[in-house]
Amino acid sequence: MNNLKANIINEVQKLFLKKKITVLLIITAIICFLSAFFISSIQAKLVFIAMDSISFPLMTLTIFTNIFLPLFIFMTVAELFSGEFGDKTLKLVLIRPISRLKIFISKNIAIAIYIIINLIVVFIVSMLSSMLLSGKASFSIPHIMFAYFIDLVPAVVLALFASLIAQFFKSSSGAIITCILLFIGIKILSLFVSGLNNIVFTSYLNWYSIWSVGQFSFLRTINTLFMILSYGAIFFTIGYYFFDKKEV
Amino acid sequence: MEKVLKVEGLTKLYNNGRGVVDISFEVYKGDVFGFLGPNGAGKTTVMKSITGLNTFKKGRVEILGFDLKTQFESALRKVGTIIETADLYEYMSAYHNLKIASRFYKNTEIYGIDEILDIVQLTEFKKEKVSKFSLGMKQRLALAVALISKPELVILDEPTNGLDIEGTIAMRNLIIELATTKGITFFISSHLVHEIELMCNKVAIINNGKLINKVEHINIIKEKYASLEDFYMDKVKSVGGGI
Repeated sequence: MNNLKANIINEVQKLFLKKKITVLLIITAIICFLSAFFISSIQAKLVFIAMDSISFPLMTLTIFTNIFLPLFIFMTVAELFSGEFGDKTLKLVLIRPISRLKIFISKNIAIAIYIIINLIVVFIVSMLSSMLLSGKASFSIPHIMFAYFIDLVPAVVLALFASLIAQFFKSSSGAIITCILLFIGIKILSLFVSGLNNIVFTSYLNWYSIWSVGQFSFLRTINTLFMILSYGAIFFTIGYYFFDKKEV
Repeated sequence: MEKVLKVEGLTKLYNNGRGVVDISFEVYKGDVFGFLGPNGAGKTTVMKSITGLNTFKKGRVEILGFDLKTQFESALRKVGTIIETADLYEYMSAYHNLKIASRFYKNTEIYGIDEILDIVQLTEFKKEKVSKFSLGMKQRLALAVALISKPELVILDEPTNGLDIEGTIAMRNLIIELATTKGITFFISSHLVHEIELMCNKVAIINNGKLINKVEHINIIKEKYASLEDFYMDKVKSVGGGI
């Protein structure tokens, strides 16, 4: 357990000592602020866009979880798995007194922590910029926080999917490109194959927006939660299988 | 004498048919054990197998009494390793590289970072990024990372590879000093007969994936042969190799 904790700290530290990862966080903040600025500037001209200070953080969440967050997840996962395999630094952890299962778990927890930090940045910047640009401060903060919280679950499952793909690559760029192509491929396929949209995990990246459409059904939500978690369990198991067999 | 490393019938074959077959030897406390063989003989394969970097189907590895397969974490608790090259996190400072390695151990089990940097004479470069280090400095830092856990066994794969004359001498002297002053057991592979002769007290020779001699004391070898090189050539010729 101590080794697991030690490696989680190590993996998070490794991420933040890389300039690339910190730059991505700054980009996240800039994107959020610019989106708010853009929306507020066109709002006056386009009457049909009903944008207010409450819905803006949720709108940012939709854009972020569907476009930018997947990209950032792929980049982070590729750094921690394929990147380390490519530059042979994965060896530095494998020769320590920690099992491969704990290494795999700790790397994925570190990625989950990175996702949480990203969502916190988006949450804070979108709230602040919306307050600054619209001049209102009447938020339902618990409501918005809840939306950000439940969108974390499918994002972690996407990270586990990327971890599985990353096991087959020795360079981070190869893993990133493959993850992006697969992600786009699944998205396109679910547009054309009827019914696929409901059963594929990438459809639930902005899970909150699906909750808020139509009448809330507890059973339907629990069903979706188990489906997403099952995807996570499958990706984790297969990913670990290949990670355990890896010869460095 | 206390057994530090025991390898029994280790067989590891790659898909291309190459690898090592039925490797068995023992390393005892206080030994500086040389693992000599030409490039491609299987030295690194053995080293990777006994540190868990490679999986192997046949054979058994025991480190400090713990079975590598079933008690992996206990087996590697008191082992320091450098395999192939001195791989380090280049984007980090020397301090952070050591800090990351030290987190796997209790505070009482490890050297202080300043203390270990002093041993490998890198104190003044503590905060400098590893990407700016020379190869010799990287090799010494890698040794510091391997030593941070106060290991009882240190496994070094070609520790002087790529180093210039000064770097080679510094690394060699450091290993000899650590073995004598700290009582660390070393298991060192090399393709350089001269290096093994200067550093080690025992030697095993590997060729074409097989051990071709029993572990022997270098002093005893020197009583029979003019040099370790003559012994090596004799052994290699006896199995149909050599010049």
